[in-house]
Amino acid sequence: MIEEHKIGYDGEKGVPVIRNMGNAIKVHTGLWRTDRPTIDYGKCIKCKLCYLYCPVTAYKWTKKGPICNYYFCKGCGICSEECPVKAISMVKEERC
Amino acid sequence: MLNEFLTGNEAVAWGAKLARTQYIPNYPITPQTEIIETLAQWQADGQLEADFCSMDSEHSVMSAAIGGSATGVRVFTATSSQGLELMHEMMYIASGLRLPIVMVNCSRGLSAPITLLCDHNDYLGLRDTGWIMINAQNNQEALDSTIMAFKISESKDVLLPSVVNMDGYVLSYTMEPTIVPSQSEVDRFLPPYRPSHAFLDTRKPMVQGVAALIPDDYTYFRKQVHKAQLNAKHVIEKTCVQWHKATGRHYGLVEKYMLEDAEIAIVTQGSISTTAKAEVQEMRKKGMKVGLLRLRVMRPLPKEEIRNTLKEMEGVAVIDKNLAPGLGGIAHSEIRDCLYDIEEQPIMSSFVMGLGGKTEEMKQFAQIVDMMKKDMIDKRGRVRFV
Amino acid sequence: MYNELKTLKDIPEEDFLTGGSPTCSGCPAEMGLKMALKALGKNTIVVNSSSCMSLLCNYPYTPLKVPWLHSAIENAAATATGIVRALKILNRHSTVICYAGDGATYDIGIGSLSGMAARGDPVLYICYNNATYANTGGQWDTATPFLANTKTTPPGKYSKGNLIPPKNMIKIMGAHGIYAASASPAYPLDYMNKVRKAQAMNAPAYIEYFSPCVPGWGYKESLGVKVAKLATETCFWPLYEIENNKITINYKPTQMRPVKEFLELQDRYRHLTDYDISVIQGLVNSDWKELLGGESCKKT
Repeated sequence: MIEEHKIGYDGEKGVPVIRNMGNAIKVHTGLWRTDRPTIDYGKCIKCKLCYLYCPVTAYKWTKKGPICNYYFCKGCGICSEECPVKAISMVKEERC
Repeated sequence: MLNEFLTGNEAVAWGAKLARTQYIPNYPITPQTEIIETLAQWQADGQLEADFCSMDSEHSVMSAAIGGSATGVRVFTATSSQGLELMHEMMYIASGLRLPIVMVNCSRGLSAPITLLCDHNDYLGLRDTGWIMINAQNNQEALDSTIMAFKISESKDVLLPSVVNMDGYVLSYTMEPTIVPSQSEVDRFLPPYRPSHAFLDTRKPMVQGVAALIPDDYTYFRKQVHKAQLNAKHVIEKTCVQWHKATGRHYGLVEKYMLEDAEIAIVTQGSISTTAKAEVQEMRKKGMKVGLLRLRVMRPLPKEEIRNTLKEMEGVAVIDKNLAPGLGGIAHSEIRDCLYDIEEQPIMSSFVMGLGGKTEEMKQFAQIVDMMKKDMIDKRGRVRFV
Repeated sequence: MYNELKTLKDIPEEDFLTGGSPTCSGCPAEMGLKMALKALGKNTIVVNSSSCMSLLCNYPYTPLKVPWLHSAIENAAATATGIVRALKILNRHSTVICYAGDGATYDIGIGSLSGMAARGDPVLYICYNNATYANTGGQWDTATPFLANTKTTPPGKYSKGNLIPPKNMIKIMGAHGIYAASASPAYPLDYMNKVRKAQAMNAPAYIEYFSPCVPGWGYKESLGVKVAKLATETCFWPLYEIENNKITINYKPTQMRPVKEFLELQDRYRHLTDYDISVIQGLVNSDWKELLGGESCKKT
């Protein structure tokens, strides 16, 4: 079924730009992962490498250490691989 | 205001200077090189407040123009034939990003084989790009159209780039008496460019040049470009009225010459119009009911004006200084489309002439009218190479 | 003069790239953009050419917090020229960088890049080198290493993969008289300091960032940084910079590891025999020797 669309001229709104910077945080890329990183804060030496390396900026740096935002984490495992004291382990994601 | 004797290239350079262009990326190609050389000399003498930036190719010229316009400055550039073809990819991007760049094209025939002389194939290749297309018939109009193009492009109802075409060699290298408006006249007519729709400022960041992979989004943006083109019709008319008030010179979407009671109309574009008009005058003196319609604006195509003017005619001879191999004259099929819905359609014939810079003589237009008359007797339009 | 990052603790905490992009899981190129923006700060405008990173800004979402302009594939440098000139006209100063792939830089965009370097426009051009046209699926380009398997140089009955050794874009850009350097995600402080150094120069600069590609090279997604580290430890991807036509090697491994350790992590070299690996080792050795020689020549 096709239907006719009537579109008016939207002026500046019709220009293909994005002004809402950083709104990709609405995209739930966390649904992609099969393994999730879990941090042993006892071992963590707060070197900041996991925070620096994470490609999706999932880690937030706090006084306690890194906190992972699982909404974005794609489960790539680079943080776990690069942690110098092996404080991060990749655990199978459990979802029904 | 100055009365000068200028080549087309110099006239257009004056247009760019008076419009207070801020950024001029450039690359040389015959026959527009004199435009950038004139601007370069002015800049070297401190008479031009613009960044004159020589680039490594025409593709880079349009890329830099896009970069500059996307940041928020007024951009002008010029090119011809092969250069225009090289930047063809970027033409769609410039109109898709809604950047009001103004470009002058000195039309020159396309390779292969190589020619340096004028025809309209390069200019007419821009029909689908979303650029506003204006074709000047003399140096005065080229100057005036360049300044007007900035106002049209930067209008909030349009926000599309424009190309002002000027015939290579015939206009670009030929001196004609030209009135150069004063800077204050142009400043009153054309305010500075202060975009709010597209700019690059780290204090108010935005992303330009997005991927619109959802088809509905892509279609929406393309439709906005189409709507902007349709808006451009009334914006062009309004701008011409304002220009008339400012300088006394009158332009429009089309030019109608001696068409009031005409039976045969010749349709032309560009500089051949002046030669054709001289012959139309002669034919009128002999009592022939001939007139001329000059298609000044190619995009947006002024369908209403064309239809309303030509529907009264019995014969229409469309002259194309271009060739679409396998089709014939390009303007001919576009004009024919405008007249499709009329009950009593005039006989339409296509005349392809002047390719590769072949000069049109006055008497050839009289011969064209004779051939047209023959077609009207046969009640059959033909395509002819003359 | 620039603010050198001496340790990981000095790394600024503000991020200009959020999550939520449709990039591959574990993408080192995305990491490279994140690290560069961290080093550069808020007053940065990024010009991107058609590449994997173009898909970051998929309408209506963007992970960027700084202005971003994408035009076409071959003209990031030319577009950046336009921006830099326009900023000067508007009396504003921002750092303008290009973030483009190796296909767009080595092949189709070499003309506009060379033009930008020759004109002296102050643009920092960061090329993330994943050695293929990755966005279109992983086809050969002139950055593809010798004997690598790509979609257009697959090994087969009559072929061993890519037989055209890559060209050295860093030296080509260094020959323009500008600052040119190689970088790697495995050495983030070195990379971020190079980015800051180039930013402070206010002149054209070229940094080539080694960017392993998960689907293109065929390695486990968690090994991105490890693959890059091995590339440098085996001298396959040496870290050096060229300034005023003088080469300085930033990292000389105490013991050069055998290139086999780098190759065996990647599926794109799965088809190689021991003989092929020894040929690659020979090439790596001679390139490294040439680089060392190039450095010591200038010292006298």
